[in-house]
Amino acid sequence: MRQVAKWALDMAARRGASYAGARIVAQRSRALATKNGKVGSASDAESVGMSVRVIADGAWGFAASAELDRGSVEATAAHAVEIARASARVKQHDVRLAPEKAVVAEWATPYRIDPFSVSVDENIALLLKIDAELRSVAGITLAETNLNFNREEQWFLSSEGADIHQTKLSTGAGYAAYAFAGNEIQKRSYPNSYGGQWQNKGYELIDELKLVENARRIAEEAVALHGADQCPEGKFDLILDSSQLGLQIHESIGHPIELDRVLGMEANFAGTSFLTLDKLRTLRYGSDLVNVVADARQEHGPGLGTFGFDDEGVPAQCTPIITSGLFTGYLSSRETAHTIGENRSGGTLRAEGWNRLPMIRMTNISLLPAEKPLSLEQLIAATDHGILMQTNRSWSIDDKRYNFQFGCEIGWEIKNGKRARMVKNPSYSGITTEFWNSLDAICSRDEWTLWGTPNCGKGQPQQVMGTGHGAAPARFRGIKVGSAYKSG
Amino acid sequence: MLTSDQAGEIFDRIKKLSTADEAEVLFSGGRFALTRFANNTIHQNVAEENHVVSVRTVFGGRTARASTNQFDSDSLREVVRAAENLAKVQHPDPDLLRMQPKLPAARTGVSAPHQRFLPDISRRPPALRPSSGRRA
Repeated sequence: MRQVAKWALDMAARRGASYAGARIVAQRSRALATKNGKVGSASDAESVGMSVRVIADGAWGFAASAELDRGSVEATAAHAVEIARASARVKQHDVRLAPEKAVVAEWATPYRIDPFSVSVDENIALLLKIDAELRSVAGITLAETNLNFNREEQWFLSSEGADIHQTKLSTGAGYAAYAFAGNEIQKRSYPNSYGGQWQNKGYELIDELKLVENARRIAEEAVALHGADQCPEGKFDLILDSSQLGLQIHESIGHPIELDRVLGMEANFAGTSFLTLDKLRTLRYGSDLVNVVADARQEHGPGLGTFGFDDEGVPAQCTPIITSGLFTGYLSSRETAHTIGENRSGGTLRAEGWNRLPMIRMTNISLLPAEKPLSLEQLIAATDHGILMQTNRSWSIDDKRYNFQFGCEIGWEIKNGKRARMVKNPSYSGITTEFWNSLDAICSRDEWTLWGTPNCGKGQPQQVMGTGHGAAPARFRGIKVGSAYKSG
Repeated sequence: MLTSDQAGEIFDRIKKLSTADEAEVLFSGGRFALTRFANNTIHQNVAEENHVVSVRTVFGGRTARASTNQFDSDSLREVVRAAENLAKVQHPDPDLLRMQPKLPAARTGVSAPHQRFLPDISRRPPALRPSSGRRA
């Protein structure tokens, strides 16, 4: 494959490109799902191809092809240069890349069991066992389960001398139990909603998740929600479980720190950001307890945003995003780093596949846990009157990522330090900076989970990317609760 | 670009590899180009060429799909094997319709009055057009 990349780089240089990067990517995926005791969907997909990203006359060009013979590769590279020259006709200024030392490297996701080595029969048997457990609970009217495996092997070579071979592997699994009664649907999911838990791991993740062991409890909760009281409305102290907090981080911190949004380059798809450049190192994003990092390094954990190098050859890094409540960093690329006074990219440029232009994407955007030991039960015990919410059900945030509303699957009213009653249809809303400034307690490392969000959409044509979000349960004071769903 | 003859030849190879009661091959793809403007400049200008075969097999009312964008012998053998393995773990669907008998191919496209609005993305010089050589 290196030879293929070299054909592309040589042609780009001959056509006058001042920079060229070639990526060859081989992707394989398997998706299995069941629905009420039957296989709902089962698919395998393979996609192989290459792309060339060049700068010519000071502007970007990009072309991609699945054909890897020499003639096609050279034609694709020449086409990329032609596109760059066309773009240059209306450029405002030359593209300026932050310097990056070219490296020769190999990197691979650590794993114990290759998920593609486990037979489809064995996978389906597991899903049907979970399905049976869910539907054994009276009142469950729909059970859905899923297993997903992805492998991506990539070669990246650049005209600057980078030569990086990287193999990423991810595994995802989850299920949901629905209870229809009267005119209401209640739902519980495990380990998380919208596809479950995903990490850059092998099949060993499936055993770690204890999927079968939790199925009955989850199904019973879905049924019990019908008999629960409506979540009360008003201002409450709010405790979020780590999975909901992961999505809260994704929407109200992860997206607004994407520098291409801030600079107006993604305005026509899902908006820009309230985090204008003047807010860097001046905005009190959150309370003193809020420490958020963008960390793509393996030592942060097996998140979907973990890798060795990004798609322009920049090594994985840890960037402080919020430091003791102060806004301290954006997600940047080699092209955008200079706009925030940085002389190096933050290493966040990633593409969905060989045929997509890499763009700034979240890595693992994580809220660091408290250093002082604090469990969820201790946090509840230290709360006089509040609502605990678990597992996301809906999300909504404006196109500046400032005003938001989230619904969760289940809530618990806390009174005098105890879970007093289950409540249904819990929801909360707020303004990003007010919300994060109201945080007054975070649980410690034992309660911290690195969640995977496999379905983050961005760009045109839309690219779906996996991102990671580490969080431990946390408490927020005086949050508006309970207005999203009305009963009856 | 993949021609009808090439697609027919790929279909014949898949048909020979398949042991299923019925097999269907869906071809999709072509050339794609997109230009995005922001801040009064082009910030994204891309082109792509890709073709995908999606193979659906049926065994007694059990059906599943697998896809690939590689048309060499090993890749086609693997995609047929995947589609068959996945179909065999399905539950039979009593409502699954049989595949259509062979019919003349229907052609769709842009009507003549609208042709003039299409971008000319086939304008590449002949020397740069992809050859049909082997993949590396």
